[in-house]
Amino acid sequence: MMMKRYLVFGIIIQFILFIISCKSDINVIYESGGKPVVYCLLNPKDSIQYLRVSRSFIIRGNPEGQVISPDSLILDGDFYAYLESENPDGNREIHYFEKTEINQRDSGLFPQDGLVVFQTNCPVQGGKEYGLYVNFPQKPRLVAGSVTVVNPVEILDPNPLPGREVTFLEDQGYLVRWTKSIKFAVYQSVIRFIFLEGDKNFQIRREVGIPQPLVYSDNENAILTSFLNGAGFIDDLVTNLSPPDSGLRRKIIGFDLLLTTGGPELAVFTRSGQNAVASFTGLDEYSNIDGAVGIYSSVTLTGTYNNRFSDLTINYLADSEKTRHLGFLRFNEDFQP
Amino acid sequence: MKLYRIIGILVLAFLAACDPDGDILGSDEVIIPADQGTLEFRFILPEYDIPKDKIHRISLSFAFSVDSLYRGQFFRKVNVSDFQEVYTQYFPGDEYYYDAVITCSCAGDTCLNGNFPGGRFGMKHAFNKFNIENQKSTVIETHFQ
Repeated sequence: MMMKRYLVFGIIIQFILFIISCKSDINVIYESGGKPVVYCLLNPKDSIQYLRVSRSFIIRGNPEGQVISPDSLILDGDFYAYLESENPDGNREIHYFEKTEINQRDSGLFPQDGLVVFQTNCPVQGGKEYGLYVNFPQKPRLVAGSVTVVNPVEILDPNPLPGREVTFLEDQGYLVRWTKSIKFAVYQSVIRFIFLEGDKNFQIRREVGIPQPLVYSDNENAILTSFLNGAGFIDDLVTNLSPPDSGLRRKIIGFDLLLTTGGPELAVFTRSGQNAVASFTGLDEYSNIDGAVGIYSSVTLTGTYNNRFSDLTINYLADSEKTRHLGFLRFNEDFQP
Repeated sequence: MKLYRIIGILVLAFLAACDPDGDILGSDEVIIPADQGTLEFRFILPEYDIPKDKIHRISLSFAFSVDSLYRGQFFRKVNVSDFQEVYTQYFPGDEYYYDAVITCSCAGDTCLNGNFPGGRFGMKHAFNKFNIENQKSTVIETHFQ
């Protein structure tokens, strides 16, 4: 009987202690400080390399309806970053990044001030490996990545020799050719269509960029190709160019072809994004950097300039029903008063 | 027992129907429209005492008449390349003229010594008449002097 009372008494005491222990609230949502987000694309054709360091943050609910703190992207704490490469003699060369003043990204969701962008004067060479390090002295954290820089490519076609012209028609396209950079890479060409706009007294030079689809290479061919569809080019021109103001005409000068090459890391990154949900909250998390989210790769830009269209293309753009409203002059026409 | 014989005969008939040597890739035959013929233009660069990569194809154009050819009024211009030698075109059966042009990009007087008129970026034309017959293929090779 006595034992039973002790047992009941003990259970009551334990229950009271349990209730007391639950008095303090438990925060079921862990507010972390965010992960570092690092973007760095080395360019062998530029002596200045850029690095963007920010941090991840969580938006609960609909991001459109929330006021995002301007410092949401700012990584807390001090850190320094540098590029490291190894010379042929075995010595290591280090280039520290410094804060830079460049145009901030202008977007409704991102703060326009305070994005931390760095730069360093470090000419990089194609085919050479470079390490990237972001060190946080006050924290047990080191962000590190390594990349082999892509070799600049050479555009073989179009090649603007005197007398050589390019014909784009609804049923005639153009095969762009270039030398391969590395086995696996991503390429994107942009046609920069250039023309004069105005009247007999005054003309201004204008241009419109027509980006082409990404091209992925994964073969041993020394020369890579991408076919520019003629009908697609004309449709893109109509989409990207509005008719001139009343009284103005346009005289076609030619086009530049700009080819951007991205390293294998960027190729995988862009491919991973092709199947992602196009929403701010549906971003894929992809990283080739230890201790951070982001991308560390290399890009290089090559161009071929002052390419001429044939008279057949110019007359087609001037006369065809699809492009007549764009106000292009025929091949042998000039601005009239 | 009769059923096994029937099944055996069917299996043999099935295996006999398989032709492991058959062409599973299909034919490479190109279907030419009934009212057109094919021109296979072999734009062969000449061999001069000039580095081969300094001789370039500039244009390959087609005209309806020799007068149009002279005036430079072409109805079709092919996008030529230094990395492509053969160009295939389709025409309705008729008589046409072609104009193939090359140039030289060597520095100094190398192009002049290579018989390019005016030296660097001087142009050489090879032109001629050709006939296209519907449903038939015509082959032309360039001959630059």
